[in-house]
Amino acid sequence: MSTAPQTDGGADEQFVDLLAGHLDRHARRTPGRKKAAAQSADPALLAAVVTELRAETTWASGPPPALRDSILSRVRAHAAEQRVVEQRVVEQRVAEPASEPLTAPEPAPEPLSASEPLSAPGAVSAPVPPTGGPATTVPAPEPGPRWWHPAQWRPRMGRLTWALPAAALGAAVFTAGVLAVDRMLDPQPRADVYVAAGTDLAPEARGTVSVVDTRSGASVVLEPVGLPAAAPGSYYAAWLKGPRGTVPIGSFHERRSGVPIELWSGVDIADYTTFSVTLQTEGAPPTPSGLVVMTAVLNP
Amino acid sequence: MLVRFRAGDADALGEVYDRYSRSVWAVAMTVTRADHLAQEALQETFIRAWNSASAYDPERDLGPWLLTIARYTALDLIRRELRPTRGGHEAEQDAVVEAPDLDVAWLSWKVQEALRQLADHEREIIRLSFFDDLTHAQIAQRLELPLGTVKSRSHRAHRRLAELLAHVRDPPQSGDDANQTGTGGRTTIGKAGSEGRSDG
Repeated sequence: MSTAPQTDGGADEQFVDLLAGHLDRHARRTPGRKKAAAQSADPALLAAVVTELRAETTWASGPPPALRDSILSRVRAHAAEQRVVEQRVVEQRVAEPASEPLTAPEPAPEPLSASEPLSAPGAVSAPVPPTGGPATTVPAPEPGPRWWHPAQWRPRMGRLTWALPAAALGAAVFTAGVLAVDRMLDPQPRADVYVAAGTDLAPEARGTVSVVDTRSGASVVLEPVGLPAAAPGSYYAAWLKGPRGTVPIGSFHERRSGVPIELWSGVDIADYTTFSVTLQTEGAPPTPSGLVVMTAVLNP
Repeated sequence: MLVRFRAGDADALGEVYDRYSRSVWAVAMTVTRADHLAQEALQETFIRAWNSASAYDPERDLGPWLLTIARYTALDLIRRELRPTRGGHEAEQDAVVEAPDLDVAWLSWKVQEALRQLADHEREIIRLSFFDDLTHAQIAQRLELPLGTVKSRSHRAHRRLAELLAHVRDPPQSGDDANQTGTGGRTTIGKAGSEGRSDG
């Protein structure tokens, strides 16, 4: 997985010498180093490497730490959804054969056989071939059904006596199992978590935006860090922005830091691409002031 | 870990993230040149990678495969930003983003991977020299080391870095199986040398 240094080949050795020498000359501020580089075999690449080493991106501290949790939470939520779907499919497949003995039409009246055991619970729940079976192939001791004879009824009643409660019990267990698994794996509506970043007006601010689609609308919970409290006479307003326009979803002052701010949206979040927080002035029109302090990209 | 990653294990994705997030971030920043777009590109890269993990060939190095996803994901975002919008989307209308040079993304990736493999003291001396723009004498003062030690360490660090970048001229391994978005224009790396950076 790592890119171990490999300097096979003369061309690579030459390039290594060339690049190492160029870096040395650059670090020593050797006069004429640019001219020397320009006369080398690959001047553009040498310059590009130096540019890269001088770039802030190269030495920046990397992505914001919150992104890792955001990615993994989304992936885990997706995986959990898949597991629930797969489990439901499996359970549905298991349940279908169990109901067959009850719904399948009764075969032709079977002659009573001394060798045929009375119906057992296991026999009821086990899948039964639709036709055929040892009992059906056993010849009747006497020709013609004698349905009025009580001896004909007893085994059939006995079989149904076992089958109905067992099937009902199986269905109840299955239903309870599905509900239990459903509640266990999906106890809460899934939250989509996005990372919010401060703008130049609040460069220290950062946080997460959790969006949960509930029956009463979309809950948008902002957990800001480093966002200063709004000064008296001002407040923060949160907005959703997208092709359909800009929608206000609530206001707050952040004078108690560390408390999640719950906002509500009456519009479908899927139609909006940007979450933003603006600094507003009390008494001013309730439209976005343009003083954006935090933003997050939604629905990437 | 790669086997678990290929099987869709979220924990394995976390390990892949820990290993490659910095390089993916460098590529995302290089391509998008905007922090919020880079964040989006990074998230999308790892989610796309996880979704496509079953297509990943464990016999091949994960890095170039991930790089391919990263740069095309970032390019997708750039294209989205360049797309004309309706409905008063002022931020997007104002965004002026040039399609970046693909080889710059490759170089960013290679440099990040190379720096990651250097010893801490080697990386530090290169940072002080190139990013902080200090002379050997200033570095010696900063690190409280003899000037000769700084010079020799600097030389060894440059040599080691050059060895790790020996294959930077080679085109990246094909990761076309991960590329579902098509390619953008591919220009020479010479452009990067004169471009400079505006990212912050």
